[in-house]
Amino acid sequence: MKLDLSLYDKVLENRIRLQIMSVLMVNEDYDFNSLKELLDITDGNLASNLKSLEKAEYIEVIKTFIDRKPNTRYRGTEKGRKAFRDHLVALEQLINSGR
Amino acid sequence: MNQDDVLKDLSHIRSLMEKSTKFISISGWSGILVGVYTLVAVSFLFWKLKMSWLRFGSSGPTLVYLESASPVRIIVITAVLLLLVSVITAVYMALKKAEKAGQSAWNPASRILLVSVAAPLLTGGAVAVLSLIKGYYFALAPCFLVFYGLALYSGSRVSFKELRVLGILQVVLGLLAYAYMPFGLLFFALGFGVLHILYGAVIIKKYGG
Repeated sequence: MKLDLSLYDKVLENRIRLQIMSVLMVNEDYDFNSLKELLDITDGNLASNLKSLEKAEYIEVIKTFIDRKPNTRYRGTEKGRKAFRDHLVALEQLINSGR
Repeated sequence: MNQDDVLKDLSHIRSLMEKSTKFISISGWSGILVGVYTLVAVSFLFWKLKMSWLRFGSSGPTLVYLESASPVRIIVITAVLLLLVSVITAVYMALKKAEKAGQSAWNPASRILLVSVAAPLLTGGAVAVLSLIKGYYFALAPCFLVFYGLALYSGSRVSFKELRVLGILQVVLGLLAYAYMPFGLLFFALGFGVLHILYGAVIIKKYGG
């Protein structure tokens, strides 16, 4: 079987970014602190990966205030959702190719 | 990237999707405790109000108060105390369970849970208060079961799927309690007592605690 790598996504090759996208696929939005806790990573690591996803336009940032404290939430864009689904297809093909 | 890595990633993604959308810190033990509180409270009411289990009158069997100065006040105070202690128990056990699992109980999933149970519970609370004001005391237990069941049903979206079954059963019992209104307290003992204990046992057995 010939591998079609056109669906493989370089941005989502990174494990943390793939994990962030997976959370945003099944939730309307998710806030920074909850993401940090869920993935169990440092502020800096999470922030830099969120930045890359934002640059790729896979996620959008929603800045709000709760009791005057900033609350930053993230939401997956249509482009990001498509990239995630495609990337999973590519991974699936990768697995099947070895069988 | 080899295939084992990919498989590991995929299973990790799966568990993340599950964990981020489900509030699984509801403790099975709190179900058992709440069930036991309920049976104690109902027994207390039967004893205090000296209710006979059955009386066959011209309109068929009914539960009657044999003698009591103010049954309504005793029932309301007992009910409020029962609910208060139950909520405190459930919240406390959930916090403990979340802490043990190294998670925060206050996450997006639990926020969705709160929002989705709030509407049926507030509506049910309003109906209960109106029933009290209007003097439809027998409507209290059925009303409670129906709206509590609806709350569980809508909350089950972000929690154990067993919660949905529990919710449906509560609604069914509530409707039966409406149909056989004088026996409301018995249906309440069955729903809020026995069903909670069974639910708790299932959760403990299936998910461990």
